[in-house]
Amino acid sequence: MKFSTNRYIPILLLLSAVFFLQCATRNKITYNIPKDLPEAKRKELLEQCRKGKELYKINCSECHGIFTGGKDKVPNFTSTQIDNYSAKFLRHDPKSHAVTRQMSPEQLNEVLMFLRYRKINKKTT
Amino acid sequence: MKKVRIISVIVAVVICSFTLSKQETVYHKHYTSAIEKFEARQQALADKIKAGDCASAQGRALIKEEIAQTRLQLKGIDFWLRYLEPVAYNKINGPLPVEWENEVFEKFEKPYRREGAGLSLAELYLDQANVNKDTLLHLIDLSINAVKAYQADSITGQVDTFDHFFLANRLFLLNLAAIYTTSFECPDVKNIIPELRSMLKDVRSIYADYNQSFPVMPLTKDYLDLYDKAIVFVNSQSADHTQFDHYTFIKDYVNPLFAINQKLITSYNVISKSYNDYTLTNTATSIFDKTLYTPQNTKGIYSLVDDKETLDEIKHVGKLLFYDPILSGNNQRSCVSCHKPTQYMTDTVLATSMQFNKQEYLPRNTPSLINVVYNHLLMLDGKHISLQAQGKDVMTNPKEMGGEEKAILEKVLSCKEYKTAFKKFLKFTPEENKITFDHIVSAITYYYSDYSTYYSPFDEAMNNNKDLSAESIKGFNLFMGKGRCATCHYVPEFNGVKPPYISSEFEVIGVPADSAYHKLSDDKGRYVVNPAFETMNAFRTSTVRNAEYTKPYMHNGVFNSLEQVIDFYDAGGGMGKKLNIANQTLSQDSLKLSSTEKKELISFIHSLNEKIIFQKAPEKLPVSSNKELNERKIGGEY
Repeated sequence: MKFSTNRYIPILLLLSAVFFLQCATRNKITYNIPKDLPEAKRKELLEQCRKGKELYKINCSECHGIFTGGKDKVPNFTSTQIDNYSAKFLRHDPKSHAVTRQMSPEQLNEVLMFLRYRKINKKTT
Repeated sequence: MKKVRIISVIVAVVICSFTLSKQETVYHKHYTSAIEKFEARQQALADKIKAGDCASAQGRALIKEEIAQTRLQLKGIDFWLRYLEPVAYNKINGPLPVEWENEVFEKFEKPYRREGAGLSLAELYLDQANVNKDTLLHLIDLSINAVKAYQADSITGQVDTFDHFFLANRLFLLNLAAIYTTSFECPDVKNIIPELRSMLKDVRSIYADYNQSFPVMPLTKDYLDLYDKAIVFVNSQSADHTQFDHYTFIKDYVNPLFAINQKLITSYNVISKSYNDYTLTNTATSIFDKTLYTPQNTKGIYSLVDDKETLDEIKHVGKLLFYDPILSGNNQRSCVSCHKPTQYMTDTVLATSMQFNKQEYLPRNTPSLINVVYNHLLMLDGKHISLQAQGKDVMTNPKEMGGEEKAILEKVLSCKEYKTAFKKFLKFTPEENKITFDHIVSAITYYYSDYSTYYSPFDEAMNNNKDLSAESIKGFNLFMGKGRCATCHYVPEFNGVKPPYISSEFEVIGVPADSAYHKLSDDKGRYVVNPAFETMNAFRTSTVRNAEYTKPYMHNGVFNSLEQVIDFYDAGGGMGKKLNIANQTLSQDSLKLSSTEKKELISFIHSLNEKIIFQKAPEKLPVSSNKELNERKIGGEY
């Protein structure tokens, strides 16, 4: 019996697609936004979180990330830690990082929203 | 054996250091005993009131005398109380029965109602008809309770560090310049100077104990020497507050002391644990430095950009947009339509600007954009908390520029020059996927904020010892003293933002609808944003800077000259002019200013004219791919 390699190409493609999709979802960050919020508010929060993530990548992950495996990783900050950061941001605490003094209040808020609503996946970190 | 010896030495050292650190410093003892004494003094006052007679004038005079004595003691520890717990302080010596405050970082929330209590209010209450003893006692009881806040560990813990000392001292110096010498919270004006003398003396003893307890981080000798001279100066002045030389006091003493304190904050690397310090910068070495406090973020979405070249480009685009009517619904109005750079960024011709429909007029006078960045709340009713929110509102307001967010964005991006520039800026705002309305607004706010960085001859006199005319100096002293202007227009911006510069104040002064005082202006002011008895007809206090060039005045532009404005205040505002106002915050008594005094006041106001360099309008606006848009005029048509 002669095998036609052509037959296996679609299967291989499908398998690799599934594989890539899995890889992609693994790194995808999801958010814990309360379900009963109105749709518009949910969208607004999601958008804030998305912006926060980008800002986090640029301004924070260079340090808060290297210990958890790669520049884009976010450590599992506890809610107390996030609150403390929030307080420090607001106060322009000179002990907190220079970059937080530079960001606008809206930008700082976005970073905090991202950290607060991010769904923590225990396996990855 | 040797090991044991080493260990025992270490243990001994640890125990020693532990017991030593437990020992209270002289400074801490001073604090504790002063608070206790003040508490006892207040208790004694409460007892006197209980035993006293509120019905007779004589009885009330005795209580007043007792209050005056308690106030003196309060002034001695005001240094700590005001800084360490400002909310509790409001119960000890609140200036008003009810204040609506925006929490420091929660400006987007509704303002909080804060009831004041304590000595000033008790004193004022005694002047009212039918004094009720229980009401009076209640004001003092609240104050006694509030003092307990200063005995909590969270506060006493701070007294063991050097940080709070320099920060409290900074607030003390700012208050010396802005409120202690005015009648801001001293109902009986004849007590202003005696209280000031007593306070300066008591703070000197705080300094001495601090230096003994913190010899490594001392207040330096040059500071103490100058402070002693300040005491001599104040003691040499007349006890009559109208004769006090505020100008010399601030210029030769308070401001140089402030400079030394700021340098010490920097060199000792002082760290603040208080939210209330957040707008103050450590680098400003003069109270009249424009970087003293920064309440507004002028860069908005471009906050993270710090490269000069890019910032200049953003500014350039901001300027083009400022003059560009493309931002309006009909492409005929721009920011310049009302904020004319040829007229000090306001409109000096119209009392209130024309509406979008070209037929009606807006209800309020256009405020100058110069120095708006020194306010926490924007608009005359404090509706907005950021320059960017304010800018968006004007552009999309159907009565003002009548634009629509999406359409504005489309029109702006139809111009190649704008599109290329914003595409470039987008790289600096990586959190954004595409060019947004925020990119437009933030460029504009960043551009016009430049106009707030200039100095006036008065600032130059304070900062660089330049000469100021004798008439202007007299005017300043009137402004701070007899004229009582400075009880609302605080040093250094002469607006409604007082130390520690974290909120904007609103006042009810009773501005009439017409200059003949037929009736009160029907604009509800702050009430629209925050309805309450106190906020009806209240407006945000504006700056006095550049007032010569920013006529007409008041929220409705009812007055056309500074003379009219001063006459209005001299008469006691709306109430003084027999208008019926239930909640006026301005005294209705006449100030009894002479015509010479009025001239001097105006001379001082003129010395606040900043040496602003106004830029020329751009010669052309970016070309759009939509040909119709290319008909638009620079600055708009109306």
